[in-house]
This record gives sequence, C-alpha cells and structure tokens, in this order.
Amino acid sequence: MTAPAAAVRSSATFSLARRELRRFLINPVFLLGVALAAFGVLGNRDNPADAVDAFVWLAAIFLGGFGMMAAYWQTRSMNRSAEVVDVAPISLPARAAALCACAFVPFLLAAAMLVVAVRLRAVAGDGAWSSYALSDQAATQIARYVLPALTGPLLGVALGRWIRFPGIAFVAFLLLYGWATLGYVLSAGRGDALVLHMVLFAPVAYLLPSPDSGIPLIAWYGTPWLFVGWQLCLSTVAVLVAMLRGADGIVRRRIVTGLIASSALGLVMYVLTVAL
Amino acid sequence: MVRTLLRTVPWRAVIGTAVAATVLGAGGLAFPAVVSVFFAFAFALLAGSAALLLDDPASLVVDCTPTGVVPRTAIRSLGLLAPLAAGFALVGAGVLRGIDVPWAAVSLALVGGVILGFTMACVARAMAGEPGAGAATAVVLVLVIPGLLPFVPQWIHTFPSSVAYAPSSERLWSFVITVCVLAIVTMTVFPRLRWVAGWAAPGVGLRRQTGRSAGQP
Repeated sequence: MTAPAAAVRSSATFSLARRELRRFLINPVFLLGVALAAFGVLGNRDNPADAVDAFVWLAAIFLGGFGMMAAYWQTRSMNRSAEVVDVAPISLPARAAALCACAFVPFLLAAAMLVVAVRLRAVAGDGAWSSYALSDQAATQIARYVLPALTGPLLGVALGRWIRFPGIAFVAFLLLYGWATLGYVLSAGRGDALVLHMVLFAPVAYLLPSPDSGIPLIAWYGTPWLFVGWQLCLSTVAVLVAMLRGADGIVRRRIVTGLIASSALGLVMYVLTVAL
Repeated sequence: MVRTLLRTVPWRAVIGTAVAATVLGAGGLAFPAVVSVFFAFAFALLAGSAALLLDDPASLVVDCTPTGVVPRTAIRSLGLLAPLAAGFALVGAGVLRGIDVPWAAVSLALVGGVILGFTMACVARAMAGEPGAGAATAVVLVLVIPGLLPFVPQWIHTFPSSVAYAPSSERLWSFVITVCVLAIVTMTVFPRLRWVAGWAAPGVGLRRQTGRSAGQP
C-alpha cells in the first residue's frame, strides 16, 4: 500500500469514527442509560457511605450494559444498510474499528463517575479501603468502575457483527447481570474456588461489600493490577472479534494472530491474578 | 390459514428468548437466595419474547392482503402460549421446591408482563413491519429499570418478591392488563386508529418502505 493511499484510508476511518460517535451520542438507549446513571448518582448523593458501592452498579449497568445494547443497535443498523455502505472504499474491519471508538464515551463518563465516588469516599471516611496500598486502591476502582463501561459497548459491537438474533443484546445484558448478582450473593456466604472464579469472570468485580450493609468484608481476590490487565485483554478480544467479520487476506491473518496473542495474554493475566 | 400465519412467526427468536428466560429462572431455582432477581429477569425476557411475535418481514405484501388485522393478530397471539408455558413451568418448579414467594401475585406478574410485551408490539406494528426488536428491548427495560434505581423499588413492585409487596404488585398488574387489553382491541378492531398511530410517528413512511423496525436508529 502506498503512503497516500494509507493516509486516505486512515482519514476515511477517522471520519467514519467521528460519525459513529455522533450517532452513538444521540442513541436513545445510551441517553436513557446516562440519564438513569445521573439519577442514581443524585439519589445516592446524600448517603456517601453507601453511594460509593452503589455507583459501581450504576456505572456497570447504565453505562456498560446500556452502552452494550446501544452499540449492538448501532452495529445492526449499519448491517441493514450494507448494500449501500459496501460501495464506500472502507473495509468491514475499519468500519468495526470505527464503531468500537464509540466505547470511549461511556468509558469517559464512568471515569467521571469514579472521580465523584472518590470525592464522596473522602467525605464518608475510608475505613474499608485502608488495608490497601494506594496503587492497589486505584487498580481496584478502575476495574470496578471504569473498565466494565468500556468492555460493555465493545461486546455490543462484537455481538452486532456476528449474531443476527434480535434479542441478543438484552438477553446478554440480563444474563451477565444475573451472573454478577449470583457471584456477589454467593461470595458473601462462602469463599471457595468455584465462587472465586464466578466472581472474577463476572463483568463487574464487586468484591468489596460495604461493612455498613451488614455483609462481612470480603477482600479482593488476587492482584488488582493483573485483574485490570485481564479486563483490558477481554476488551481487546472483543474489538478483534468484531473486526474479524469481513476481514480477508493479510488483514485477517493479522487479526487472528492478535486474537490468539491477546487471548493467551489474558489467560496468563487471569492465572496470575488468582495465583499471586 | 392458521398454519400459514403461524409459519410466519419468528419462532427462533421467540423460542430462543424463552429458553434464555428458562435458563435464568432455573438459575434462580438452583440458588434460592437470588430467586426473586432471577425470576424478575426471566419474566422480563418472556415479555420480550412475546414482543417478537408480530414481526413480519413480508409486511409490505401482507398488509395489502384481504386478511384483516384481527384474524392475523389473533392467530399470532397463539404464540403467547410459548412464553406463558415457559413462565408457568418456572412457577410450578418454584412451588414444588417450596420457595417462599407469593406465587399467585407472581403468576399475575408473568401474565401481565407477557401481555404488556405483546401490546407494545401490537402498537408498534402500526408503524413498522418488524417492530419486535424495538418493542422487546423497550418492554425489557420497562420491567427491569424500576428495580435498578435507588428509591424506585419502594414505590413500584413489578415483581412481588415478598408477601408484603403482593397487594401493590397485583393492583399494578391488574391495571396494566386492563389497559393492554383495551389497547390491543383498539389497535386491531379500529384499524383507522392504526393510521393515526402511524401518522403520529415521524419517518413512518420511510420505515414502512424499508422495513426497518420502530425505534431503530
């Protein structure tokens, strides 16, 4: 590929990403999620001790989960107009990459929510977290608040690329939410290996219930930063799976190689998270 | 005609969603600590399954045939038996396991949710040929959101998780079922109102021509 041709493709992908981002910002499901998250933040503002833990759910459900449904809709709507869009000089993997760029919106909003939560935690006192080093506290909070909001929309794009079943977005949302709830409830009662893996595989690692809620304090399993690495590997896998659709030739080989590498790295991260 | 019309129902989507609901409900039965959450989600999925029943990819042709809206909707409503059967199987299993939930109110919530999903699809069908995905997402969100927000679960009980919540849940679902039945009758028996609903929605003409679903961006 010549340098000018590469520049044109890069510019086209960037323009498409900008357009997809605009569409995502006015997606009704995503806007509803943002409004409900804001309502949840305002509703919990007067009770800072409980608010910080409640925010984890708000970020995961309304930014990650609703973001996943919105991204799925957006991807499917693009598939429906494939006959027209296929004429444009942009490959399917580049289109998938442009769609994946939308995930930065809920990611940034979740980061803002984390800032609010940290401020509220400072107000409420920090008894539950004092046993953690500052670095581990940061990793735990990033894993709990921010990364589910990034992974959710990316999963939505991957689902939209590969699965035509019209209810898959809300089915996946409720199954993942059910899984996280089950892990949370079981972890309060017992701490065996099965529960550990169920909690760590859940989309939101809700591992530190507030002592105020009457549930005994449960320490974070494993190493927080490695868990962040595991979540980032999952996000990378979601992006590559989305881009794999319609890829051919050398691009396909590169994506498959990247997929194998990120899956292997993720597995290593997960094993180290549990082992260390 | 019944067999022909039933053949056009998107059974894969309807049954697939009902199976996912059954899996969630079975998870609740296996772990009674989360039974109310899992059953509430399962019932939301069953309502979504009911909303997929009216999808018709050939709506542009079908809408012009002499077969009226009433027989078409009535025949397709037979498909409601699938989500209802899955839901009542879960309720029966819960009763047999002796789980302490007000099962009469839970059954009413199941029926109400399924009828609500079908009604939303019925109303949206006036605007699009394949309203299922949009209507199903909407009904799932309507049923799930009240339980996710702070304070709201104190006022609205879409799923009666305890005996104390049963009366308010029964009142809510009795009202919803009544409104839904009226809406279905209105949308099917008075076809002129379908045109009003269609006229009220912007971009309907385009959707009807392209076959895009309601609510889809």
